[in-house]
Amino acid sequence: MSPIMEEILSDSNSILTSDEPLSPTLQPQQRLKARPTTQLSFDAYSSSSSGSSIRSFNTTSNKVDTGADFLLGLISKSNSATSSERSKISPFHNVKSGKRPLIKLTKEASSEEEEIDQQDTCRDSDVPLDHNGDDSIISRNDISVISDDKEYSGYRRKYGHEADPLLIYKDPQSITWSRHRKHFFILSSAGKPIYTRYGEETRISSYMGVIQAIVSFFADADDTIRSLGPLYLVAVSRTNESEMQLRDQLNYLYNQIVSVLTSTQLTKIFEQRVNFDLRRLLGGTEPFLDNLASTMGDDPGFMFSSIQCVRMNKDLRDKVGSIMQSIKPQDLLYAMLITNNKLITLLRPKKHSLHPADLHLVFNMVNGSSTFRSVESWTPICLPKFNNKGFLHAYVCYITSNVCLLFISPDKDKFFECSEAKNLLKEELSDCNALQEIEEASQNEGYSIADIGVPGLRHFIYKSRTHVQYTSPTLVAPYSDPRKRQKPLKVHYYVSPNETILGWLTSSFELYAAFGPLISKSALTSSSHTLLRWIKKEEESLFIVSSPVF
Amino acid sequence: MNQYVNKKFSNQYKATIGADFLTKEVMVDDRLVTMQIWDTAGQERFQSLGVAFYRGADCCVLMFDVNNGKSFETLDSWRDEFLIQASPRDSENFPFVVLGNKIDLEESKRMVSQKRAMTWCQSKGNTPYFETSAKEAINVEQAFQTIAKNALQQETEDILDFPDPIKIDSDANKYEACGC
Repeated sequence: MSPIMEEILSDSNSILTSDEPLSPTLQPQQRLKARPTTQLSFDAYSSSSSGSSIRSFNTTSNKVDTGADFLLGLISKSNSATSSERSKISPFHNVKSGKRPLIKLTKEASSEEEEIDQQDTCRDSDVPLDHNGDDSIISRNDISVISDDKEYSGYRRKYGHEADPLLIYKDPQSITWSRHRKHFFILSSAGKPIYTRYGEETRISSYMGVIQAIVSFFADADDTIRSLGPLYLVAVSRTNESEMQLRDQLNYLYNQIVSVLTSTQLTKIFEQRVNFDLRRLLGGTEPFLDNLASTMGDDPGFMFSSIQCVRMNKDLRDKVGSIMQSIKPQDLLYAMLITNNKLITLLRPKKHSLHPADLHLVFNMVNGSSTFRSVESWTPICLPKFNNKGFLHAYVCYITSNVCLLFISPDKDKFFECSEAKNLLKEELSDCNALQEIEEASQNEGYSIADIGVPGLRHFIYKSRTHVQYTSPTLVAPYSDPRKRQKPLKVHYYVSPNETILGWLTSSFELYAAFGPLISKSALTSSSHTLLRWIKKEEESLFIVSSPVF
Repeated sequence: MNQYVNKKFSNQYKATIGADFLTKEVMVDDRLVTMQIWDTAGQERFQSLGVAFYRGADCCVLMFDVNNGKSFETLDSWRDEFLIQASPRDSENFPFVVLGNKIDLEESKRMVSQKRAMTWCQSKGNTPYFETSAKEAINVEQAFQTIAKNALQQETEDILDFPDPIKIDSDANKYEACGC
């Protein structure tokens, strides 16, 4: 047994027996006290990394005379015939129904909400309510007090949308819309909607006003929101993800916008016109934000700030790399072969490595649009970690049905050189049969847990800190929901009726593994070491251990 | 405002955080436009919040009660306050619209004549003036149509420069990167 394992497994203080995540941002939870005031809490911040964020918010209802003035925000929209009667229903109407809206503003609703919360607390004390003073991301497991069936039928009775069963998920006025596990909203500092994960931006503009109001409320008390750019990004979640995880995800969304506009343009636009409708410039790129929003919840690479590579014989990878090296076009920054969000190989200048966050944006771009599959493309892209002030230009082309080639260049006039280099690359790879071999490797589903032969082991994620890459076997039941994983600090050992979880961090790797529930500590230890030995043995095929540079 | 958006009138709608937020879609010259209508509170204690709400507005609607002389007299200070706080790029031409509300009440209660109101509006760069009744839905639709139109006129096509190309050899970025 390694010293660290020994220390952890024998030290009762370090062995956690609850499923509380070890994230340093999570404080011991306090139960929400019933207050006859409006409780509104979510995590909002403006794309950044320092300062304080919006926490929770209380307000009492007030009557106000007819206002002395109105303000208007205008969101222009392409002319369409989709305008419907639904727009006449105020978003706040669903609050009055006393169900569970994500953003609550009326006194009546909040009182009821708190009663339900207290019942929840009694019924299931393990459920974190996260209504403590420091962390107020809404995250609950048991949000469904009312069964889905009843909810839907109630909605249909009220609004008669039987014809389109999906509509209720898209319509912000519906209860179902508010019951998505995780919402993302992006708005300008003037309160204009820029992006919503669900529903349509114009429909949620009232919510955007409320968010802007909350931000202003705190700004008024000199509690300014953390901020980098001129945008507000909001996550409303009940996924049990930590504040840190959500913060990371909002940063990714922000970076996606920067990748389309550059931070130079973004800043300039709002300096010139604070009321600018950014959707005029971002229009058409929403699928990339959508794709990112859903991938971030499932792909551990985002949480671990690392990437996954295709498992492949090292000799083959080296051969492909050296061929790429030999055909690379002029003024190249990066060349890479990718498949299904995994890296096959990367060619780069000696002094410019590639940040995993930028690589995730590249993956997201290639995956977010099916058009790349059919044509050679040339597109400007800003990679914020490399340089957020300007555009690079990406040549994108699938060279087999699964393998996509990218050349990234600072020169906007290099399309034809890249296209020629692609032809050459394809030719040379075919000549030595490597094209066929990488296509086969890319079709490979990965390895299964059975291939490793570690007793009791069900699933694991291993991140090599040295290579900034992770590896993981294909997911089998019951681990089809990766969102349940959480990030421990050093070692996390947890036994539940269904499984035994080990999380183990060292300076060179992070291991997260799930075993059967009945495994003994000594068997767990020896199994973990068997697994680590297997990973060591397979390291050169699981990871890209060296990549060609120029 | 509720009259306009929800086609109903309530004289006790809730103020929340010093502002009420409603959305309305209108057609302006064959273009579908969504208006975000932020009704800021007229109360003193909410005034500081108004500051943040004013920034980024496309149009400002000043509304007074024709049966209340004082509400008319304060229009000047509301207008000035708005221009100071919002500090629009071109404050000379920032679109305002003035509404004289509650014309449904009996004539004897009226304190501000149409002529007096229009004179004031003319002195403020020909600000459009509408006499409305939120309760009876008089002129509300027309007023908001004008508001949307005037606000849209502010929108100009901005031409963005492509930022300078990146010189990859000039500055090396330092960060935790793939070791590959």
